[in-house]
Amino acid sequence: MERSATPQHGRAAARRLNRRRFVGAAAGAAIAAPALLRAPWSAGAAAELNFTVWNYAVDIVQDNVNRFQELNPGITVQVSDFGWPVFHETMVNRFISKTPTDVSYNGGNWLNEFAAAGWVVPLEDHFDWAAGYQEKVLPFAWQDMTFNGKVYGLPYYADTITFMYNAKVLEDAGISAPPTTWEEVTEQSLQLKEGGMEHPFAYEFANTLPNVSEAFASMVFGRGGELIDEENSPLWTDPESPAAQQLTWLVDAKNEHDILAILDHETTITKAMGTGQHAFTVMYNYNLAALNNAATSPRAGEFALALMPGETHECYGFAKFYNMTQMAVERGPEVIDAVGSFIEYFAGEVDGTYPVAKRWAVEQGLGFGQTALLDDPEVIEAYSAWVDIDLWREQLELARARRQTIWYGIWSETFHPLLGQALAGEIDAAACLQLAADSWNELKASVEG
Amino acid sequence: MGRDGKTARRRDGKTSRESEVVGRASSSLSPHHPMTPSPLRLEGALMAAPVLLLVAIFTIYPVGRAIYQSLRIESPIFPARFVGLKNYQDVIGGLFFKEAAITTLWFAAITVPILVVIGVLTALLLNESFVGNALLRVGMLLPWALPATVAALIWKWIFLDSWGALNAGLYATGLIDNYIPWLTTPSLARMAVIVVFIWTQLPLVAIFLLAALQAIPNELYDAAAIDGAGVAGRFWNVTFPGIRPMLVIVTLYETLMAFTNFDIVYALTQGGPGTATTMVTYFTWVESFKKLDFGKGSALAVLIAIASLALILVLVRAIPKGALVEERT
Amino acid sequence: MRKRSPLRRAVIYGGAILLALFWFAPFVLVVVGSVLPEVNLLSYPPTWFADPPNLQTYQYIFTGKIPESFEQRGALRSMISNEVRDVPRAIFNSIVVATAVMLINVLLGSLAAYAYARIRFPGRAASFNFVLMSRLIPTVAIAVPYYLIVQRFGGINSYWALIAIYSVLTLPFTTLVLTLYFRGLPVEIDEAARVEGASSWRILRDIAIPLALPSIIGAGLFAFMLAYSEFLFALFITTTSDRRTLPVILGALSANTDVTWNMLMASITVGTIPTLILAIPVWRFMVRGLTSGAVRG
Repeated sequence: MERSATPQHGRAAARRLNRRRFVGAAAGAAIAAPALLRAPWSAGAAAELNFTVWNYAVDIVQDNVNRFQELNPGITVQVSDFGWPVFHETMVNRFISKTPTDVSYNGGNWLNEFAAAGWVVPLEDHFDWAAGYQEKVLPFAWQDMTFNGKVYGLPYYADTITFMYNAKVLEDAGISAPPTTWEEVTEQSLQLKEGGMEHPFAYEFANTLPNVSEAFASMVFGRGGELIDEENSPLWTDPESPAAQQLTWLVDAKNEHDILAILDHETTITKAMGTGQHAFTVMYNYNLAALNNAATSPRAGEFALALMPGETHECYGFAKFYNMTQMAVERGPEVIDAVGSFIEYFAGEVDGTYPVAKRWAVEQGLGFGQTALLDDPEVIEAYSAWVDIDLWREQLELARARRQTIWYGIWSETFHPLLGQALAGEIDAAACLQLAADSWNELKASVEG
Repeated sequence: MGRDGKTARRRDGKTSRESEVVGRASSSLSPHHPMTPSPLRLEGALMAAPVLLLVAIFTIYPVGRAIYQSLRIESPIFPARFVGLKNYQDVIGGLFFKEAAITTLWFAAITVPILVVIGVLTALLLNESFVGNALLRVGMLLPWALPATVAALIWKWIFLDSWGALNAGLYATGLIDNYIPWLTTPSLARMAVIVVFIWTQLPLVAIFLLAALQAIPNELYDAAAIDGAGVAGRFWNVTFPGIRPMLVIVTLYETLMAFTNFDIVYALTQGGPGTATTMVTYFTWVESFKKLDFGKGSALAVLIAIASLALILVLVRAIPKGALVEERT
Repeated sequence: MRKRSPLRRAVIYGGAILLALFWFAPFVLVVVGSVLPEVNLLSYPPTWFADPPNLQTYQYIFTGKIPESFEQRGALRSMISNEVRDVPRAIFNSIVVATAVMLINVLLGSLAAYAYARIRFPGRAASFNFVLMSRLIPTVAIAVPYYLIVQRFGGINSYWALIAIYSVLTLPFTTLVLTLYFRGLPVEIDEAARVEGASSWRILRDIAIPLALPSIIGAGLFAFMLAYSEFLFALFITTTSDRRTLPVILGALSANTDVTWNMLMASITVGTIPTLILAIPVWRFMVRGLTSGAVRG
């Protein structure tokens, strides 16, 4: 009777896992009785799911979960939320200790690691609808959710790391246009500094912050560069490489020109930008919505997007996504079904739209990976309140994902303090680049054997 | 020290309790034998059993596991195998270990003396009677009782570069024209970590020293005064010997706290700027949970435990004999 | 009271004022921050008091009534996280766990301490050293094995797992303090009771514990406070907000992008109140207990 309740996708047929174990089938039957009343995307599976998230707008997450539960009376979802800076270690701990976790937020920077450890599973191994979303999702987002040629999730949100500036500050200083190259960022910063602004560039950096190497990648992409080549070898050992140049730019901006203020979190930057002490920053794009938010930002309306400085103006795009765990697979077919329904509702197409992703975009300004939302009038209207839509689209088209490796997340834990040392003047940029390469090569060797 | 000595020492008749408290330092705080020949009783073991059992469960297995892991590659990503002492070599020769070890030693070397000196002054102050003394005594428990992460959070709001309360206050009163980057300037960030650590630890130090101070009989001060001793004389001849055992305990305890301080740095500076405030304990966390290398993480933990133990033994040896066992009530 | 010179008085009051500033000014700033609109706190040049203070943050924590400045919806909605509303519940959780830890410390701690202080039994010195030395191991090192033990016994997200761990972390200190105290009690009393045929249990119950009560309560409250403020294990072991303790919730709030500073300050203020209430009895019992014998010089 469970199959009969799942007319939509023929998941049972597609699942490559055998269905010998019918865990709790009887209970499932009882709860799944009102299946006929359900919306077409709802699943017949009866299951309790544990869903782990980092705590961004948990009230909205819970509200979305409630809506999902109403549509799927057989499924109950328990949300567990953890702080963003400790999310990686919390998940590692949960996976190692096999703390029940069925579906989880994940990101490209951790996907390879978690997948290599066997903690998370590809969607397309279990659901036939998964691969079909490739045409409906922005390429960079798709790439960020893919490991070894298989897609592991659908986007919770997909965004870019972009360059933002305070247009009013620039105007007041007689600067007619935002910088288009990093040299211009320096020039304009020095000009602002002469006018009394101490540290025009607010730079998001903390040793523990996962975003640091992502933002670095975005700045390197703006110069048309990459971090690693196709053989997964570091490119920054060449001092002329965009990565080496950008790192040197950061170090010089801090220690030679003294135009950098180092702030430890996007929230801190948003608030610091709101005090008017800084003119430029590079952050996750959705922060621009917060910057231009009249309720909390004293300078709402002054902030604008500029294309990432550099020769190509490319930027880093990424996806944070819903990922099924190996633990869910081990719990059996009902749970797999339920996770499938869950991911489809949260990130898939429901009645021709994407209710959850759209809600994030409209209410919070989060980016999205679902291409259809690009033309959604409500999304456009909401975005127009805080960003120049045309420019935003232009930047989005220039977004690309990063090459990922299993050891990227681990390496970044060495790279961040090295960059920190360089910014603090403890080592120079060249030493930082060399040590970062050594660490990379060592990890590469130990993984590749 | 048997009963005879004790009875004889209770000469002022002021209290019925004996004073020698902490066992000989050299026997590392092991219990004394106040009743010399007394029969072995099994019920003693029975009484101690629950505590012993609970502590044993949560000590033997975890420590055994930590030592075992420290000799292996233990990672969900890299294939597991025995590597002997390689983890220890890697950790010690690693990129940041030396700086972190120096920072940790330096942190302890600065904070512990400051804590002890200010702690003594605070205890002396609280031992005086003045308006507001009770408020100060009770209120000072707050900084100590707060979770360290919350204490760091409160101070972060004070020190924050862009809109911290300190900068706002200094600016508003015209003392500075430009905000000072407290947390991103290495020397200032170190100072900030020290201030917060002292803020959270000073109450406990002061309480323990105050307790020791209050146990000094007034008669001793009166006698010293009759002998014509001044403020300094009274301090060195009466106060200092009286609180010396407690000073030793407090120094040991705070050294250990300074050595294993983790939460404050984690919440206030994340070890930055650069590696200015990175301590060794922080890497235990990074190696295990961020780099998924439980072998190296365990090796670090074992090193820290050994270093703590060694440090305490050295300190205990360095204390003059008799410093812990007083001949006075 | 001895007479004091004006200079001495000036030094005392000067010192007291400095100390009070150092200890209490941060709290005052937290309370001030909790009642001002965040835009004022973030203003540059600082204009903190441009708008009148209000209690809306507290109102939100306890009633869920959203402050005016947050009421915009849509893309320009000011973000607010209902996580701050977990604070009262988190205080409750912390109190439940810490109270249990306190009781366990009082009960098991006095038992063990009396044994170590007064009874000779095989392995006494060795086991006493073992209990004390167990606290030298950095907690970060044993976090994962602890977690595995808890999980083996099905204790993830349970009160009892936290209670067990905090008891392990606090019992060594309690045992030490009470051992020192019991050892300070006159041996003659014990001996007299033994002559009359009293067992160790009876001596403990009828003589030692009543005599040591203030110290025992003091040590218990000390354990309470440590349990109330522990962060690392609570972070790993509690997985849902209805079980999280206060340090975990406050830690999460500080990293939560939706939590404004005034809301965070209000949460800290609310979370500090139980500590404040406890400070008086802790002082009475713990410090007096210390003073009256246990750790005398």
